[in-house]
Amino acid sequence: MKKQHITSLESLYQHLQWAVEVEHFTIPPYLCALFSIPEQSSNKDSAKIIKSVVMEEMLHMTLAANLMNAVGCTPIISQPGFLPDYPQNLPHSDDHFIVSLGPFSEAAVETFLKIEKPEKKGSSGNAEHYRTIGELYNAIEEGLEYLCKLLGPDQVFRGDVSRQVTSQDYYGGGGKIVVVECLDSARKAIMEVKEQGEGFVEGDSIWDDDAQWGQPDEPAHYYRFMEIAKGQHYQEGDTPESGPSGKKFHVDWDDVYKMKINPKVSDYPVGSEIRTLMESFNFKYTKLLDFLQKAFSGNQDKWIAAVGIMYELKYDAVALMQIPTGDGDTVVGPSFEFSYAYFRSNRTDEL
Amino acid sequence: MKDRIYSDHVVNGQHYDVLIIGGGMSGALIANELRNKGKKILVLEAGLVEGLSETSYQAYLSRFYTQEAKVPNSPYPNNCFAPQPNVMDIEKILPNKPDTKGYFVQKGPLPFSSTNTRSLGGTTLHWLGVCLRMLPNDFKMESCYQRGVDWPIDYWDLKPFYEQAELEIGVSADTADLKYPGAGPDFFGDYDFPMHKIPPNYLDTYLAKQLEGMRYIDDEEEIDVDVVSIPQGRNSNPNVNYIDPRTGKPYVPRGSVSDPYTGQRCEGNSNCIPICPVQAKYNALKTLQSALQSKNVEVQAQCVVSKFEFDENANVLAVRYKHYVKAGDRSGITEGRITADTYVLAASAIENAKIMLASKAQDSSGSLACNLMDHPYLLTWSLLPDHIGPFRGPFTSSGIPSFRDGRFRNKKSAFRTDIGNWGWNFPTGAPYSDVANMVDQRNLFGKDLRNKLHDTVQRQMRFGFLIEQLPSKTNCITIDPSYLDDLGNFRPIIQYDLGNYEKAGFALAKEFSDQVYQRLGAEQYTTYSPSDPGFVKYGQEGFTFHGSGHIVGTHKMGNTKFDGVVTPSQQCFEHPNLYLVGCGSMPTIGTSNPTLTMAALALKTSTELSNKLR
Amino acid sequence: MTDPVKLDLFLELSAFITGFERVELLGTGLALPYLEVVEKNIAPSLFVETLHKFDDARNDHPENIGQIMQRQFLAHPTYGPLLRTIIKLWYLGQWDALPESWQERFGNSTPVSGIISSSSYLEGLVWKAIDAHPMGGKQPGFGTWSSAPEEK
Repeated sequence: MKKQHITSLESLYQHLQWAVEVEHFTIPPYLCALFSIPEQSSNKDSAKIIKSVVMEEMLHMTLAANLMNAVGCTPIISQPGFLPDYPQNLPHSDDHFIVSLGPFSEAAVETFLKIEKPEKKGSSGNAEHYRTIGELYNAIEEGLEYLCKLLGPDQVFRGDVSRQVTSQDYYGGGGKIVVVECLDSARKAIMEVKEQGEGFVEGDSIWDDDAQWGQPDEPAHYYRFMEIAKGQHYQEGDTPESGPSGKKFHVDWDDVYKMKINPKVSDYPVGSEIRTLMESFNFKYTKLLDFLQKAFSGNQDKWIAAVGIMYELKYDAVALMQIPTGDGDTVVGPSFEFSYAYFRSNRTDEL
Repeated sequence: MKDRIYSDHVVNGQHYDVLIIGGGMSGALIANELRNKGKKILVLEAGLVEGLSETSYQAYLSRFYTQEAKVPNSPYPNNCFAPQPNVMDIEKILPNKPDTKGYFVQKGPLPFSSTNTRSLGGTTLHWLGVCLRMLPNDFKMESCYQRGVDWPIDYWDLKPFYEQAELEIGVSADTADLKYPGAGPDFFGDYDFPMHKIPPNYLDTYLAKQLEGMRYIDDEEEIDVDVVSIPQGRNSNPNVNYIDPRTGKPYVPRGSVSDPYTGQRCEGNSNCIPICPVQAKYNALKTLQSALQSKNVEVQAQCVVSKFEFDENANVLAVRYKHYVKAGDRSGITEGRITADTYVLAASAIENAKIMLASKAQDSSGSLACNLMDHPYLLTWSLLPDHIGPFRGPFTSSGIPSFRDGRFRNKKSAFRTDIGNWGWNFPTGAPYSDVANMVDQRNLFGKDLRNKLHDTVQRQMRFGFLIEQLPSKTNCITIDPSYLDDLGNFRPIIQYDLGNYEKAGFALAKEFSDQVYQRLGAEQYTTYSPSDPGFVKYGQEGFTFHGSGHIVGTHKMGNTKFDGVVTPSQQCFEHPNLYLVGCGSMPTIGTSNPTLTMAALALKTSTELSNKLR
Repeated sequence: MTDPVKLDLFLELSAFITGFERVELLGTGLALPYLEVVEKNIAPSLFVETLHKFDDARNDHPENIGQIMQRQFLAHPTYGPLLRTIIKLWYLGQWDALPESWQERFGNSTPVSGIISSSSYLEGLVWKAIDAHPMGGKQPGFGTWSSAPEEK
């Protein structure tokens, strides 16, 4: 018999929080790669692919938050510990690879492929460590089913529906937000995450199933990154074995802002111009997490401001990537570190 | 889809069920509505096929970025074989000396300052996106105010088509917020828009608070001043209660034609005119793209119609045009002729009139190519005591509709007040001009310059007043073989003036504006100079007006062939297999930006054609 | 003078006359392109001379540099027009032609003018100065315009 990982509500909450953390974990590395591709670049196709994936990761993070709110607990995202300290292993994984912040590169795409690697058929990992993100979601789905049987659905789905993020607030990417109220909608939300992205089952088709939302089907994330690795798009009829046989596109690993790998504010002296600028980026990023925290805690009026910060972060990150680090080779980039300055000036109530 | 869009000349000698001349909004709407009728439809476009692909739309945007004068047509290159007007060409017109600097030959006495775009998608490429319905009294100016003329139809005839147009465009508004003079509770009824209103600019909220309870009072009027949000053809949060009748599902905002995930919401590019970078604002490319999903619809670009041939029954027999390979390349020009059962002329009010004149079309009404109208646009500008965050968001999101209707209309123009959100961009060229002024004249530099710019621009506000212009036979288009374009087609010759009715409207608007600025404690900087091309005197006062881009009235609809060029369905009275569609059919202009009404009329025409083609 | 030194002085001077930090200028990605624009438009000797004089002034009289800049540079018949043009280059992304008489004496034979590039328009400092974004680019996102402007 398969091992049941989640046997209590506490464990369910813990796993859902992990899901939120895992989804968030992928975003800064993808963003760094995306922003390192200049607007007028020969890597436009790659930029488009990374952008489409990162938009969907944000959707997945939101879906995970909806799952949490549905079962009556709140995701915790604006705490210092929520932010990864890159380079780092994928959280709650079996630690078999390390993820860094850095520019668009062959190595980065290799890592992205590892992040999005399809799960082995029918596998759901072991205890706290999951080989793939799909396995984590399998454990959650099985846990939800188990707990609904054990406690009754009303005891599991006891969250406030008004806290659910709806399609009013989420837009601009593939897939669709699912309002989670019951086991059925929870399964739909999990299915959405798995089909688009990380949870894809090895050997299945390469396509996500966004046609169900009236959107074009796109390759699942793993295969989208495979397109970059091969410099060629998939087309109808392609399989995981066949590889992509569609339109070829140019990938130029040198046409990027060569951002320093895993930058830290501590690389620069306190009060220096570069450090100040990096700190200002982190201040905004921490503010974004704070606003998302509030939006996921029922203050949906924070969405507009949160989305506004996302746009600003892009412009700020690109600006950082114009500034030489001084090593004669690389440029500065965003470090995505927790800003205690923001915490002190805005969160005194919660310290 | 691409297979049915032609740049090379492939349609010569063909016969179509419906031939639509002009790939702008009216043409696109009609093609789209008829696409599933099993009839062969050709859209003939004078300009190039641009904008549908990401690369070509990006080319428009890059062109805009690097143009110093960011005027409405700045992203869209002029094409000497399908030339278009440009506001940069507007000059003061000297008596007895036509101004020939631009595409239009301007005989004056005042310049006609509005422009249209001759490229696939037409002027919706640079339209603002304001989607206001005309008010009930706008359709009966003569009966109500003994001014202008009545329409052969009324508001209620057009209401269902307004709703249909609002769906196709994708209009964002909340009916509960909308309050207009002379519009009763049935004006919208229990109708909902597909999307909620665009969030208001901060300035709107600021003004609404400051002007709360204000009444405008002069010798004759006493009018409540209301700040009211404006329905917009740009994407906002979908209304969950609105079920799209085309799909039976909740409404999904339609983004860019090259990437549906881009532009699902207005992103605040502050650039509705001249180009929305993300296509959150509707443009006719979206409707064309939908029409082209059908195999029945084809688009042939780079074909400029010169005239119609008529048969003995005055039906159109064929259309004559010239195809060019490359703008400016004379060696690539070929002549062509196409026949069709039904012809739809949808080339803009001015081009429609010009082609009819060139074809020596019959007109018993004496109104063909006459009654050219616009909303003369009056600006006033001031510095507020507070920072209001301009230059972040749509051109305008609210207005003051209080003067759109009222007893005063028997003496002076009604007008609509736009609350501009881009500081003094329109009146003075801010913020570019502020930089030049502060650096070159005020000798500022360094932190002082930065701070002064911030404080000044943050306090800039301006009003724009769209003044209703009455129809006049002497505001007209003519042609003359001595004024031809590079392809040998006629250039429109425009005669244009304003009367005392409109000028009295300027005076009322200015007086109202003064009162508002006084109430706000704003420093007024409005100046009108006799050297401005659009300067007019009214008594002791002088005003400068601009064009609104609302080109209306050159083939008005009527009850009979003696009082109009077209029927209420835009069918030409005298040439029954020809429809003249567009803003040219409007007998009066009211105070609404005319695109929504034009779209409603095109949909009305489509309904009639649909029934006929069955 | 080696190029990095020249770029460095150009940035220092630009930061001083625009009121923006050096890193903010670098962040536009336009420091080098703008240096090239200046060099294309004016005689190299005059540019080097201006940079040196500025360098001397800020080293010799750091406490009084504001007044020195005003009186000895911006009010100077040769340096003044050049510096004002450089300010506008950073603020608007465009090179305004200098007065003809100036251009004849100190200009290069192959001047460029107008908006330098799409990115020079989008990175114009004027937009940052007024707390906005370039019209048609770097959009702030849905609904953000409804909130009151942030006061500094």
